[in-house]
Amino acid sequence: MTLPARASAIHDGVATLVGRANGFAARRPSPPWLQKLRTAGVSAFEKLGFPSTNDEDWRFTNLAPLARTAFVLSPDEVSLAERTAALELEARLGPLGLSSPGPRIVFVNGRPLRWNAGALTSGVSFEWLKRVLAHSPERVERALVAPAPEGDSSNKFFGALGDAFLDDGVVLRVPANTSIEEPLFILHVATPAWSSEAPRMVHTRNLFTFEENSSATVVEAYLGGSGPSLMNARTDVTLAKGARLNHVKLQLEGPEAFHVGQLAVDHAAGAHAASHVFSFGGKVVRNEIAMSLRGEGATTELNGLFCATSGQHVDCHTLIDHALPRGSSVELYKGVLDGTGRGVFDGKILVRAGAVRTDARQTNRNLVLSNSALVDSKPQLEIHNNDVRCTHGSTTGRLDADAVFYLRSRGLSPEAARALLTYAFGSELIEKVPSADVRAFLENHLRAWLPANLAAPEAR
Amino acid sequence: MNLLEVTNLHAAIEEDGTEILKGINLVIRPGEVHAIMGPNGSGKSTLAHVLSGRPGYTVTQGTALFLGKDLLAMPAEIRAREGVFLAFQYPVEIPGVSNTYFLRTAVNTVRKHRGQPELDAIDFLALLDGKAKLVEMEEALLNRSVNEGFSGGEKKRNEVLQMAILDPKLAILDETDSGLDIDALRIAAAGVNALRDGSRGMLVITHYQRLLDYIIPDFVHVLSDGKIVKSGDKELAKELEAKGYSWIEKGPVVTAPTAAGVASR
Ligand SMILES: Nc1ncnc2c1ncn2[C@@H]1O[C@H](COP(=O)(O)OP(=O)(O)OP(=O)(O)O)[C@@H](O)[C@H]1O
Ligand SMILES: [Mg+2]
Repeated sequence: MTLPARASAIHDGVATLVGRANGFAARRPSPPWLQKLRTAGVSAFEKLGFPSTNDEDWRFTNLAPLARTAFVLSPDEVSLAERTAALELEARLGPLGLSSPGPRIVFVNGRPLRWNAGALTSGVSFEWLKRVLAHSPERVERALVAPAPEGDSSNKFFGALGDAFLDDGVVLRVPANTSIEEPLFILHVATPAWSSEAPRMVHTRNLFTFEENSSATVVEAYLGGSGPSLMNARTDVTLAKGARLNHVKLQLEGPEAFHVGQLAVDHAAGAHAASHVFSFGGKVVRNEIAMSLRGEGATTELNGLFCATSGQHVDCHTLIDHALPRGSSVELYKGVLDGTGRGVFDGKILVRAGAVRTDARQTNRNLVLSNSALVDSKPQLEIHNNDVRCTHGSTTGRLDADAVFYLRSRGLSPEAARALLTYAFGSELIEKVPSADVRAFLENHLRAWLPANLAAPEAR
Repeated sequence: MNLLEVTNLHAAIEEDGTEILKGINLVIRPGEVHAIMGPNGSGKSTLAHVLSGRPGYTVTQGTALFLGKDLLAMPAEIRAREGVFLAFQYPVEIPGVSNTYFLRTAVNTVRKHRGQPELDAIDFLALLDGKAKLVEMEEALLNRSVNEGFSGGEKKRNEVLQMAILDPKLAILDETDSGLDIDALRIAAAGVNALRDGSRGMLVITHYQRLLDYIIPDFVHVLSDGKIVKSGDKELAKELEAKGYSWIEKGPVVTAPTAAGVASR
């Protein structure tokens, strides 16, 4: 049987990746359970391949361009060129840049570059997964071999690939009753692809454990240069009773980047997670959040701002699983689409039979700035008991013409008026971020992203 | 030179071509206050919109000169920078943009256009403070998003505040008195009166003679079915208050169109 050219390119892409994963596993001597995990990842991926748009969870996102690109792993050694490029990119983070004093782990093309302890609270471990795997793998065995949370769709594909290439990431453990004030930073820099090289891929895995009544803010930032790259990033979090996580994801890669990210948070009773996603595009970007509320009275908050311009595709996929009584979730995702940019919001709220007195609110609002931009919104409520309060709403629209005229009637140019209104639309999400430095960075970044420049709105 | 000279202005709704303004003639000289009254739907707001450059209307005939320049050829923001200000009948809510930031952006845009130095944060706050007192605007409202959740009266006071800060040459007030209680009306009127000087012109659209007790007009015009059907002094407003519009609507056009303006068509 001959496959159509396109399908065969994808098929070859899968075969190439499988070959690379096998070669990689052979270079990493590991305990049997880890070998098994990688091998299982390889065979699962070999069987599944990349998701197609026939898969309901990937209906709006075509991965063929990703599948056709032959990505390679970076060699173990970080080159001088990579170091230099990484520093340059990191410096562009402004208030979150090189001089930022907090605890920080920096990767370049997936390999360790720098670790700053900052004023890390004693008893907290914040370390490279690779070191843990080398010296005391038993510490992470349970977390790594745990079955994927139910309904977490992309685990099937990218989770398998992540297992196959499992190598590094960050292990964070916050002891009981400990609060970390300063945000912990995990920074991934993809250096610009040097012309002679094949595009790089990174598969990274973070494991966070929050013990009872602990709390911390974690910022994951993904930076990149020009040229294609693939980031497959997964963060698994376990929150014990009463633990609180603020998670901020800044997706800031270049226009050719492919990015698939997953955050899965398991909430025990009374635990709270707030996720803030800021995604500024790439060739194809997929941000997945799976919040699983498996303790009574657990609460979660999901905020997201996704922006895409010409040639970009950003897909936000969220799942909130209410499994036990008296949980609550509040979700607000906003999309800003310009040029030929394409956005997707697919948000599911599942309320199980036992999850009585659940309070869930979901809102998706999208702003379309051009005639050729497009956004697909697919809110889904699946409720299995009657004693709940759930609301959801989704709107997609253009800038309010009356508001544009109002601003013009006060002297603002049409471009300034549109930029100000677009900024105001997105800034609602920035204001929710619990770190002044991150907010300051995002304010600048959003302003720079806008079609016309705006003066600094220091009044708000 | 006349501040505003509108001659035989015809304007239609762009979408369906319905003609709303059917030959407006109006001359405002520096320092004059003109009131426009007239029944609902007669075209008062449309006139205000067409003069301030709101999209959605087509001018099919006539001219409007602002200090001798072709007003209709200017985009809305240039009219604003040149000194035309419209206080909206229905001010727009702009979530996420603080009133203070908005005012500062606007004033500096306008000042730049007029060749004046931009105001820094401190100078701006001093200006804002003074003008906010004039309209008795509380500080809390200045820090909130533009008009978001403002009461009807607060929105109207915010319009007067913007006018005071932008310092226009011609202010068009579209029912700035509607929705104001007695005290708010007095405050808003005082704000407007404080801006009266020998040069600033005002076009005050209102349904109520009451406002004109505070802002005493030099001329009162009645707009009906897209035309000015009667003009007079402040006594006309009192007459309208007593008798309504019916006695006038079918009557002859009293305004003398500027002969030159009509002849030139
Ligand atoms: N954008 C528009 N589309 C359709 N019709 C319009 C539009 N703008 C104005 N009109 C119509 O034009 C007529 C004049 O409206 P306008 O708002 O100018 O009246 P007005 O004199 O200000 O009335 P009011 O006293 O109620 O404020 C009305 O019949 C109105 O419905
Ligand atoms: Mg009106």
